[in-house]
Amino acid sequence: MFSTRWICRMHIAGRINRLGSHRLASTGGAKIGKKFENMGQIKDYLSEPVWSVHEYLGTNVEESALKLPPVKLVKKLLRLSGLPLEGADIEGIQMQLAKQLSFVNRLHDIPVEDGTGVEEYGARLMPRKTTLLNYKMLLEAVKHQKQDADIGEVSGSWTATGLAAESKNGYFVVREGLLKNRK
Amino acid sequence: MPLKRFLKQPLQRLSDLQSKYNIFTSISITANKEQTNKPLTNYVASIKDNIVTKDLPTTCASHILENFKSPYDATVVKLLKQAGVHILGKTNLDEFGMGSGGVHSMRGPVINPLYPHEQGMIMGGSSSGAAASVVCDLVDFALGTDTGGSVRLPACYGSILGFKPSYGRLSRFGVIAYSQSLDTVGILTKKIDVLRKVFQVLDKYDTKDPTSLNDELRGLIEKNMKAKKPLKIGIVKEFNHESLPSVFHELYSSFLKKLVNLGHEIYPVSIPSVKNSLPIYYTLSPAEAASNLSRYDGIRYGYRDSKLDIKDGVLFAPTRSKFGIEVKNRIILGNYNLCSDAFKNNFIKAEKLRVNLIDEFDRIFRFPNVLTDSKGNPEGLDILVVPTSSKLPETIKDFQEQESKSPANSYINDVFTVPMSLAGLPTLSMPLKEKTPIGVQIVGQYGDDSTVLDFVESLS
Repeated sequence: MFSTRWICRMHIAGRINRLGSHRLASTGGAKIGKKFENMGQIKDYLSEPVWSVHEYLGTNVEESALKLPPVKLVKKLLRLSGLPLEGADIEGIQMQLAKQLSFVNRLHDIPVEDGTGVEEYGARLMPRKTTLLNYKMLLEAVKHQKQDADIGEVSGSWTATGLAAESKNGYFVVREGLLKNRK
Repeated sequence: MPLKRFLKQPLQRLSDLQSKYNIFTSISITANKEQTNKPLTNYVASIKDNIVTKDLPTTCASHILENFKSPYDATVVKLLKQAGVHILGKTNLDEFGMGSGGVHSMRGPVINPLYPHEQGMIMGGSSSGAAASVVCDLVDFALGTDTGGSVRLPACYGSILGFKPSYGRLSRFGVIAYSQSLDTVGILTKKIDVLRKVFQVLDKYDTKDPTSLNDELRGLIEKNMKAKKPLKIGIVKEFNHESLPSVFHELYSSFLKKLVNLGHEIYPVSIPSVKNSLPIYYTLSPAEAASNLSRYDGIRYGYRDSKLDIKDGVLFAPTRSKFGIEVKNRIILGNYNLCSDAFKNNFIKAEKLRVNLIDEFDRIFRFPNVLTDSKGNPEGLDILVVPTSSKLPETIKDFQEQESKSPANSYINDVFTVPMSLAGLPTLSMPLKEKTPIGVQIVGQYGDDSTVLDFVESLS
């Protein structure tokens, strides 16, 4: 049986849902409703939780039920990441990665609104429409280019090997050979 | 706090606060020559330790950059110095900015000064030391960085102001990259007038930063965006979470009532893509991080293993083993997302969903977005009001316990902050009550930082 408090909440929620469907006018995926007339309406609106972070944590399934990435994949990722294989807690990484993936793979089930014609590069926070560069513009840009000591463009403004732990005659040093013994 | 006042403070106080709350990674007690007639003459600031400085080391709270000293100042640091600011020190953070608790640092966790230090409460991260330096009144303001909420969450937990400007407004030149499509320099302070002054000094196009908002677009924003009072304010349905503490609801209702009494109009609004934000963020940001952090090989700068450059066939692994565990976890996930097997399903999908989210924000704002070329919605809103955190600060022990069970438990701390990071929107977290770790975010259309600042100023 429902408690009185719970019934009240359901009643309010039902009222808000009706109010909500009346209020929300479609403008594509995002919608703006009609102006709230009083604080009572605002409080009613706020009293209806729409979702919970537990929806994310729902992906936080029991460890035994997780699909672990294969050991071979984990070793490949360690190599790509430049992290040591020797002494690595492979099982721990498998578990960690499985948990991370159960969280981010939620994306697979979400449909992409493709009607906008905007490709993925629109995700960059840069102007979506740009002007094509031509030869004249490049020449113009070069003409006005100035060397900047702050970014090391002025010859002698910095020593390339000055911050290296090891260097020899102005060269960086890589021990054990750069290409030998590499997998 | 003017410099003279700061210098009269006994150094003992700084030392005591440091030992209690673990705020700084390095301190500069040498005062600059006092400057006059500068916009920020004698203001004292702290700088997050992932922003490079010539005078102090820049470590990102990582063994990988232990003792690293940059040969140049970041543009934001240079501008502050030119404006007369004295830099007190570099502040502690989650290693390379990766974390929401302020606990993943080679220097140990920052403790929230809003509570007795014995309680060991989290400050929130990753700009944890920056927030703590402001809470303790050691500085007038702090510079932090905000990738998914790293300025706003600690500001909320410290009951101070935390501003993440529009992406590209403040230069990232000299900010050590974690996730370049999201990283934004932010300002933490207790006073809105200080925040505005600092923002005015830093809000400049920088040719050294390829993502800096150029002067042409700044001009367009200036010309087109003039919000008129009363403002049209939206409350986003998707931020109405079950998990919000009851004390938040009480303070939030009072806040909204104040806005109604001031004559502002409040509207319900739905932005469905907000719910996708966390998986989008935790797909894109680790992928960018994996790429950015591949430069740490120890050969040119930073820590280098004393004996080996290659181990078990993996180049630079002996040096790179010095990354902390959270950084390693994110690099591995990032490389997974960039692998051919997952690239299309994960990375590209996340980018497309990010575009959807940006477009949905565009549909509800009155003003156009100069980046997307949206025309603006004539019936649209001026600002949004959104909670900053879904929960109250917890103890460091509880935070670490939850995080060890699953990374998702700490990822969800960013649930209210990440959507605006993905869209690059100007967002300011302000406390709802003095000395209380509960805040709301004020959000404007891309580039419309001034409406956000004006609005918060009008409430003070």
